[in-house]
Amino acid sequence: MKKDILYFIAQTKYNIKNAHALRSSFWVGVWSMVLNNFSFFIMWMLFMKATGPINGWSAMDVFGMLGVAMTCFGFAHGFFYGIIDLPQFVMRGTFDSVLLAPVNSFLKLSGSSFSVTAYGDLLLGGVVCIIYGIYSHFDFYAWVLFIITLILGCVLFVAIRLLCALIVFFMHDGEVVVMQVFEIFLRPGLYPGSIFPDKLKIFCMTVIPTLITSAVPIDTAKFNSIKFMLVSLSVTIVWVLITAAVFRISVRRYESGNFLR
Amino acid sequence: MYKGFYFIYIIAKNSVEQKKRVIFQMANHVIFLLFSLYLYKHVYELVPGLKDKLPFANAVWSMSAYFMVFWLGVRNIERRFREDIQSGNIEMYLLRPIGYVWQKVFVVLGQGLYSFISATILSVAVSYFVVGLPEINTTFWFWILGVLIILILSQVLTCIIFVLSGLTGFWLENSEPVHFLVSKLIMIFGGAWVPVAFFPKALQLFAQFSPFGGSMAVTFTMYPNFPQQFPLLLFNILFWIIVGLLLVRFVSSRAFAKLAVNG
Repeated sequence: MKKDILYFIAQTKYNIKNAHALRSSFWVGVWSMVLNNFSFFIMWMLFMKATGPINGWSAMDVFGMLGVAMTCFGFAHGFFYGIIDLPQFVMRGTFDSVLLAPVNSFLKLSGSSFSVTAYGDLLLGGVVCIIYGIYSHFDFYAWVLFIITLILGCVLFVAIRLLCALIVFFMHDGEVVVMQVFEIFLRPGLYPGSIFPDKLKIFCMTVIPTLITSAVPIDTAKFNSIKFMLVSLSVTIVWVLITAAVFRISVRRYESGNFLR
Repeated sequence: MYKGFYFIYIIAKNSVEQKKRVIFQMANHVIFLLFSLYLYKHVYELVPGLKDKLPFANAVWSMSAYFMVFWLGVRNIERRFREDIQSGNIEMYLLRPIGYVWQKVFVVLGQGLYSFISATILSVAVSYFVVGLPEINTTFWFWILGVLIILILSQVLTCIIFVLSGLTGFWLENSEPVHFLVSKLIMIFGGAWVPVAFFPKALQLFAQFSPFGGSMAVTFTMYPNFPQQFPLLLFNILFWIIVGLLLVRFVSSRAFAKLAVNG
């Protein structure tokens, strides 16, 4: 396991080095994503200005929530971009190279591809989370809860992203379906957590666990709620286990030379 | 003109084989539409004052109009340009008897046509059955005619904007940041997730009179004051179309002069 992780770290390091070789292109990619993400801040700030605080959430909380969502997105796409390319690997039959490598298939797959723009998400998301914590005067306990739920959010995001990509093993031409299914997961998480009615909130924390990757870390830190953290932990464990099981089944279904179909 | 329609028809016909794609796109569309509708219903209950800015039914129709147009996929024009320029395949398209810019516009329109038609039917059905017709202070037929005119013209403007974004690829190593910027400005000022009626007055004016708001002006046709705003909207879109066409002409001639064909 240690060897696999070291391999993954080395792969990521070389991916970053590689992208950074074209320095101007790298930074243009990063900053364009930062600029792109500002649009969500502007949009929801204008919304909160029109509505005023909703269910105890101010514009600053929405700001923090978007920061969390960007961090989770940036983490998954920055370090595990290979899983986004999984449908192409399977469709072209090049998944063999992942399976034949003497390292953990998931880690080998994850580091096999790279997205520069995801580092823009990660950078901006991280900065926004720190600003939010400082502005909201988090105490030590709130910081710990916030960081733990943020990490859980990142892990869950990777698991769901992979689970969506695994569709391609079960469906011919599944490539076109993967993105649509992933968007069903992603989009609700970009709405302010406070505007969700209770039932929908529970649904979006469990069945489509998008709020775990956006609003839940904010609620956890805001109300110092260990309950929210435990919910986040349980949901993440359940989804990670489901993803791991589906991953095993999917890999067994794979046949070389899919491209010939 | 006929050649153009025929081109779009052929591409659309070819895209029919991707039924699975359209089905899942539409599933995504309906889920997201119902989701937004449910959320905004809750927001309107929590903040009753929002009704004064925009009635709930109009907000729903406005957002569903945005997502309906979204599936036409006109924003993909820039990506098509970028891919051709970066791969060098642009040479291949220059040999064809239709201008390069037109080819890309027709391909994008053809590929998005089925999704757009399906999304239109679903948007209208979902919005109508859930909230009824929006409150518009005019006759039904005037409204429909106005929506159609603004829809067509605003999409012409959107095409022009994304063609211009794509043409920047001749000078930039990667035109994606331009695309990000333009598409996000359209998203904000087109009222994608948050209707423009919720914005402060100054921003509402900017949205209405900027090319970004103009390119999604179909969302403004769902507002109660549409009959009063109609001439202004129309004038604004026509103005930006003329400016845009002149710019496309100027920029594309410079861009193609810059192009080196290596064979």
